[in-house]
Amino acid sequence: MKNKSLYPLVLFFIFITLQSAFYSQDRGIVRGFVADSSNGEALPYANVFVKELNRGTSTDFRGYFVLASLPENNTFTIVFSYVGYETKSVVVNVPRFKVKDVNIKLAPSSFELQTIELIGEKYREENATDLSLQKITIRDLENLPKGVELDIFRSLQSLPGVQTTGDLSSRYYVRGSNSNQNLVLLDNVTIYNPYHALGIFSAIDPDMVNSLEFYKGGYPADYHGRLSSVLRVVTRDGNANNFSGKASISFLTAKATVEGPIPHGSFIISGRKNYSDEILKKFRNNNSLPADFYDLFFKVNYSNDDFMKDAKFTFSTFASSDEIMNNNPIREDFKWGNKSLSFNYFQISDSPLYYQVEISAAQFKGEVIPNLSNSKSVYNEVQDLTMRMDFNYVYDNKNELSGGFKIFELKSKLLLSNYRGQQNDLGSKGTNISAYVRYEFMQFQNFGADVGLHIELTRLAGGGSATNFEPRASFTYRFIPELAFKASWGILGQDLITVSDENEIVTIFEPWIITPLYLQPSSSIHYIAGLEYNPSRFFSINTEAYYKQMKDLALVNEEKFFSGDKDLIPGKGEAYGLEFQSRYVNYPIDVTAAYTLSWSFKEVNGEKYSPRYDSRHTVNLSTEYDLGEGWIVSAAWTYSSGLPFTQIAGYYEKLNIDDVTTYSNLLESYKPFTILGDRNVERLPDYHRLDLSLTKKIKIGKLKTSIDVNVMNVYNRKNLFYINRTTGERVNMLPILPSVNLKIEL
Amino acid sequence: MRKIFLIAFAVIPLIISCDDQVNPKSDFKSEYVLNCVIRSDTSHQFATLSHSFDVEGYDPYTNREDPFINNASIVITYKNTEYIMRDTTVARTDTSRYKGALKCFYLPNFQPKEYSKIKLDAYLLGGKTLHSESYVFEQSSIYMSVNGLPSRKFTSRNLIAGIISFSWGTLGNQDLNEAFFAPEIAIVYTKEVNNVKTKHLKKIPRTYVSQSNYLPIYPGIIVGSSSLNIDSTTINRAMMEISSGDTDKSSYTIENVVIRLLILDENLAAYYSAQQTFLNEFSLRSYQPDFTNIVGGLGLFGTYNFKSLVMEIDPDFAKSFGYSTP
Repeated sequence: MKNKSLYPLVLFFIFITLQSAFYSQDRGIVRGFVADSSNGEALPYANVFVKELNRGTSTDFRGYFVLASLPENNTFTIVFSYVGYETKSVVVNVPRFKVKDVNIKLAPSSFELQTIELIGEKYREENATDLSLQKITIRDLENLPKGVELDIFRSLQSLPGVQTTGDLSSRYYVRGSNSNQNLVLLDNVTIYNPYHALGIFSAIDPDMVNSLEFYKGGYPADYHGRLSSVLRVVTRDGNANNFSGKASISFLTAKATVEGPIPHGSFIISGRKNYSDEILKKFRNNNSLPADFYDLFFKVNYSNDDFMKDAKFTFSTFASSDEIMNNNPIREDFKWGNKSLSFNYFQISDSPLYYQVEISAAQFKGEVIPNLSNSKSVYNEVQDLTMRMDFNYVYDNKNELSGGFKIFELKSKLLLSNYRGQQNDLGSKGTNISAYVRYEFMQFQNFGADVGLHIELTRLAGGGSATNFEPRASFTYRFIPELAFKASWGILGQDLITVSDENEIVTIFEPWIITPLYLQPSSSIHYIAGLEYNPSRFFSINTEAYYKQMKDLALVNEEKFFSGDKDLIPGKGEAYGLEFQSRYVNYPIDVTAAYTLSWSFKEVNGEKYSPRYDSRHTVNLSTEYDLGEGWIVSAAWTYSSGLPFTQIAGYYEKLNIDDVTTYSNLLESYKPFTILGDRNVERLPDYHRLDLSLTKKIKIGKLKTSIDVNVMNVYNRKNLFYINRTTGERVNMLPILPSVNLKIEL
Repeated sequence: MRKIFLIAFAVIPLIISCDDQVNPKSDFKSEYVLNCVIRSDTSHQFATLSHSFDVEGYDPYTNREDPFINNASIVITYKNTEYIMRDTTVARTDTSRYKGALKCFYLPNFQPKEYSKIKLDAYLLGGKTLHSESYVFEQSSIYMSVNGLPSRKFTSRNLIAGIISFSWGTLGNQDLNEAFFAPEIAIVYTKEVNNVKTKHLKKIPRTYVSQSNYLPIYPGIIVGSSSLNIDSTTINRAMMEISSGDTDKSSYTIENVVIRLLILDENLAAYYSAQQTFLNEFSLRSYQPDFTNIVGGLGLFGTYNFKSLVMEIDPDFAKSFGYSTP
């Protein structure tokens, strides 16, 4: 984009800023936080409803809300509600020229699910531009079948448009994109490899999580850096009222959480460690997996009006570590782990403005130690240091202006042995400076728009075409209260890539590098449209159609045999599909049904093929039923049509050279080798699985106990994982797998 | 809502009972496979030609129909001269799969040693042709130095943290970037048992990795360097391992040290390395690339040259381990 083409955009933002500034000067604003009265924890996405005006809003992931454009000098009844909590009403007088702060604490209800939110009672901002956005609280996930234990990534896989390649990995693929095109943020910090034990489980313990925001595509301008999706994991602040602890044990891990108040703040420490590989064996056809992993999280926050009014300081750190140590010098060992450190300063000003400054550092290290095996050594290290500043201003007319900038310094090191045993360092370092501006039109009741621009001012690898513009736009129009049309469009870029071989069905970790200068940074264009229909207070239907084009995908050159061959080659991709999700909630039953019809293609070196995560039809059905007296039963059924695979087209006698220095006999050393057919033209059998769960919650005094009995793959479906080409052996995914979780909370 | 449940309960058992047959095989792909490695340490060159095959099931070792053929014409072009390979058969040592003699091609009295392009063409019945090109590299000189000083004798006992270097160079205008070196250093010794001496080779590794015991790491293919450095402690350990566990050290006679250097062309080096590279035990691939440099088919056309050097061993050095010298 030439600079001149930016003029209309600049003029546009000046115009909307001015028109908002002059609009509705006689309107008032109410803002505040909604928190849990028992522990002070923010309640994300809680309903905030102005009774007299029959309109409202919801809290954001911080529990923060702003009700703008309220007629001044009027008294309003504001109703705050949240699933599992007692509804609270407060009467507020909206003063002239002042922002009214209202901080609310909601008390948990005795019978949690009796206050389950009905769709019709959930206040939806009629003009919210939330296409492809899933806001999930941990409470939403807790009652569904957990498998071995609750896992946030596995839970995402039940959403339409999210694909997996089977039971054996929590790696997820969103709308036809590879898993390395998903950004995972722990609060605001990138977690480069958020998986434990070969990707079987996520490295983020759900006990430290408050909520999730998951953009399946077309995400707004404040996010950047991935072609496909953004998962923002919002962590808990810790109990601000009392010291409390939680311990739980499953067949896989033991974990504990301690939290409590500090003067003007709170803290939380959470840790998890695996103690047995018995369950892991089940994921590997009963083959041993000597994996050892842990994760640790610590967060402390401080908010003292005497020190700094309306400010909140947060410090958090996260570490995860995995090892697979064979204790055998002729076998390879593996180590990988993440570390992050973050300091956040959040400030609410007297005007309806908030801003935050954050400094964070993240590190990922992964290593394949070949010892004396024939494995090739891999060493990957990624270190980033980020400083970002964001602000958000709410105009009197409800429109919002937000913006910010980010300085991101990254150093990557990737020592990789190529086919010749030659070790190359594909790493580099660079600085990325980016900025964004975003304007949300919320002033019209039936129409909402979110337009933004993300600008990459530098390229991480330096040089090349340094400036990159990524415009984003999202619109909502509500025809009638029950029906809304939504659309979004955006250009997304990715300059940090993984050298991941997508043909690896199971991989240890994906090494990260900066896109080298000989390739353009990857980019994608998203076109998304959808309908939201709520025919009754019990029932909702959402449909979305998407089309995504990807270009300059940096793909591993599978045929790099010579020194002159590039390690990475450009490819392109295309994905499109239709998603359908409906939910029926009528206490004591909650049923969700999702269906996805999708196509995905990749093209490299003139060969177009379906990637191995391309499933044509996916169905997810889940239900939970509150039997009363603390008993909850739930079921989830998943169906996915067969994934592509490459067939065997024959065999040939391949010359085998065991030792090049003693090579002497061309005439004897032959072994059969497989000739492959056209890539991924055939499909594996369909995948399906039923999981059941029974939960009993018991409360004795202050002690809360929860026992979950889960059964994965209830009817013991022999889902095919792959066929061993050399033996023809059929390797299946998980068999029927019962497990028990025990959680004790004090 | 009840209708939805009823439909779901009706459809799910149908899906559960769905046939999950999968055919791991596509239509058979017919390919010809040509293998030829031109060697400078012999004047007899061989090539094999075979065709792809299929089997019932998935175990290719069950194939009993010999895929090797010799009803084709194979021509080697070197320094503007064409050499036609002759078809022949060679008795197999392993007849577990294919009973008859191996059909192959050979070319006598052909020992290319000068740096030049070399071509291989196979003309099959039916008009199919296979083609490949490579380079023959000239022999290289090998030098040894001890702590940077040229040496003809193999010793390290008196060195403190000493380094023995083996270096090599190529002659003429050869492009070193296209050549790959595979050095091997071995101690030649005899062991006498009941007045009978038997000859043995003890390969010296590049280094030892200290785990619960010492494990040798051998040089493999060296690229981007024309030397190999070996620490004196590695050599000393290799010398000690010759008689490891044997108290009768004097029954060992250290004859000499043989340094062998293979100079491989890029194709052979890449083929070898690709074959040696396999994924770690936890990684699974859905697609496996295969190296070939045969245009029109599969297989390998490569060359290697060979140089060996026999080094005298310092008697004092051998005796310091309790060994004899000739």
